[in-house]
Amino acid sequence: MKIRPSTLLIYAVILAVVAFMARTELSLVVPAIPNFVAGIYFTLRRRLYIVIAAFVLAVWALFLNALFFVNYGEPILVLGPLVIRENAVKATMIVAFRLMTLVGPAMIFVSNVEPRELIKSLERDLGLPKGLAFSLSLAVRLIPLMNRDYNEIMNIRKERGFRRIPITPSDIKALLVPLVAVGIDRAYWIGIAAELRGFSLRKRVFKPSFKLVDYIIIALAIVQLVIVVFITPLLS
Amino acid sequence: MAKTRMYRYTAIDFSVLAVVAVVIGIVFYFTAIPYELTKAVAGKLVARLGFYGLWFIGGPLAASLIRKPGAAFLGEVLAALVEMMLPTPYASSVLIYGSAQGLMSEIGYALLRYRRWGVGAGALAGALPGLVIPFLDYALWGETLTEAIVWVYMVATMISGAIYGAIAASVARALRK
Repeated sequence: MKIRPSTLLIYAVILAVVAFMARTELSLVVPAIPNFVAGIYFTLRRRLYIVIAAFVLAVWALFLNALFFVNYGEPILVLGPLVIRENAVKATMIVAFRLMTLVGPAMIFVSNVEPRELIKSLERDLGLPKGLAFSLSLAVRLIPLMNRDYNEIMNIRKERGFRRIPITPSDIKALLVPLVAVGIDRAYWIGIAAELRGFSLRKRVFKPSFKLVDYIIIALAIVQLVIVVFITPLLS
Repeated sequence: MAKTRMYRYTAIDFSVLAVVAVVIGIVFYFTAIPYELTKAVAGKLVARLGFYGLWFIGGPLAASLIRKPGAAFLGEVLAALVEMMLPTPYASSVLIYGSAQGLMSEIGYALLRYRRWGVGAGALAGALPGLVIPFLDYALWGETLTEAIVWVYMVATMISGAIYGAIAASVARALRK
């Protein structure tokens, strides 16, 4: 039972739309809990702990924000001069559920999809234009090369006594210029080679091959969208 | 006819787009860490002024290098797609944000009738996404914000976007020399 990568992308994007549209706790719990649990399962299997750390950090930042801007209502916890009130906790909870709705499906997508398979699937199943498919597959191939360039630039910066991690806008410019310069030089030659091999004559490949399981997953996403947008507002 | 040919994308343009997508995708990916740390320690306003504009540089950089209509939009959207594959803590929302940012940057160049690609145009293309993004943020994180603060964030985001948009265009100018 192989799910098409495009299907998982569509699922993640529909759930992102759900996260943007859901407004109440009830409407957010429906997609948040099952998707987040599934997402965490796949994340732990792939050992992508940084995503879980970033999620915890983001929820903490949201809680601080809520304490600053919407800390009103009945007091829930008093810690010396700090009084945590009902609305700050409620707001953090709603936003955390929204984040879970976003992160869960994206983790399922990232853990189960190889970038090259995704690009092939986008072109074949969704009709992504050949130029964009070319750009994306080249981008995937360039990531390790440019990562090597990035590390070399960082080492050179260190040897010359500059900050290793760019902080100021001028640091960022000093990093971007050599990185893009090397990349552009490579890109010109790759582009010329592709043109010489008849890139512009290549025909578009659009032969959708979705199976029953793909339709079920897309239907599942649409059902969640309908529940969140139309049904839960009626219940609450 | 000549104009159509001038606006047609070649394999070289698509290769340049790929380079921009990788560089900016990596920048987007690494921006999340200092942005979230600054947000947790110094608050959202400082984080926005300092880092938010970095998420808008895909449009100005791609457009200043390729100089064709659509480059700003594609640069931003492809970078968002690369960021999503890396993966990012912002999950699939990056595609929605990336499309909105790319569209606004593209509008910046369209307003200048695709005739100006310099630092000023880069600053405009970097600032314009700041008009829309705080509202998307409000849709996502609105419960922890007030309406008044969204307007303050909008100004901060536009300033940050303009600075980084100008930097992206100046990087492209340095490369084209």
